Amino acid sequence: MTDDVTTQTPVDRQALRAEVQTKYREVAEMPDADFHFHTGRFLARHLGYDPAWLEPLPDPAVESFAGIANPFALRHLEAGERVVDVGSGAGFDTFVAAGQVGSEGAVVGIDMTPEMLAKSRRNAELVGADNVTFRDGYVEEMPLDDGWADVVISNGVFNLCPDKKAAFDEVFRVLTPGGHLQFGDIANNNPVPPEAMQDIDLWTG
Amino acid sequence: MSGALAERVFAQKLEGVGFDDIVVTNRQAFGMADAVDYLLFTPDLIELMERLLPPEAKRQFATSVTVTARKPA
Repeated sequence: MTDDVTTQTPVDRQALRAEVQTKYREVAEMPDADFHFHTGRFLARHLGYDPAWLEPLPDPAVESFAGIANPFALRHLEAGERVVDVGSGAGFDTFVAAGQVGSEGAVVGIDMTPEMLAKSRRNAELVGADNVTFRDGYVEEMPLDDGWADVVISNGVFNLCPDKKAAFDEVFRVLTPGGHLQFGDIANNNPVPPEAMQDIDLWTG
Repeated sequence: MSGALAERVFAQKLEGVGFDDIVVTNRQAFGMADAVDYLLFTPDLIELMERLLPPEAKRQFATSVTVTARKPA
């Protein structure tokens, strides 16, 4: 049985990252494809995103959204806050955050999939989000100084990290003292069998 | 999905690295009928789960959650 507090990586980290990139590349490049899952504006409404933040965004900034919950549900961001969106994808949550923190705040989106990064940068120009930048990076190795962020958000990302402790350690590092982590994700109701922990297809699925 | 944690383990992990004020909420039950709507669940995985999960687990095998935590000041 899996040890709840282990920091060991039960799968090949590089292979897992490659598999995740493949999956999200499809969503970035073919947002109108006939996926078996919901994406975009429909999903955001379903997850309870405030229409006031959702509706003004143009379709390209929303169409590749594939989150699992609403990280803004429990805490609205404050004007002027500095925010990191971990696993920012095409930038939907990043742009929602940018609207909440306003021109005095700043949001950095971090993603490891080149196609998502390219799309998010195009979307930033389209949205006119001057307080947003996107950077290439991993959850466990964020290109940010210690204590830079007031808030770290993410949506459906930590379940894809083989070493949760390393990921949470890195979030802790980039947060300022008193800073907030707020994220949506999926939790298992039952223990995961060891053989499933080693199956990359079952991680990305 | 194999990388998802139980709710209590989310809290344990966060506490372990130093976070406090940890709140896990906005729980939404996930069963097979919900899973097909999300990117995390591929058709192959859904087919596997249909075969392997007992009926009671098919109704709810996971939960989507919203988590907040704070780095101590």
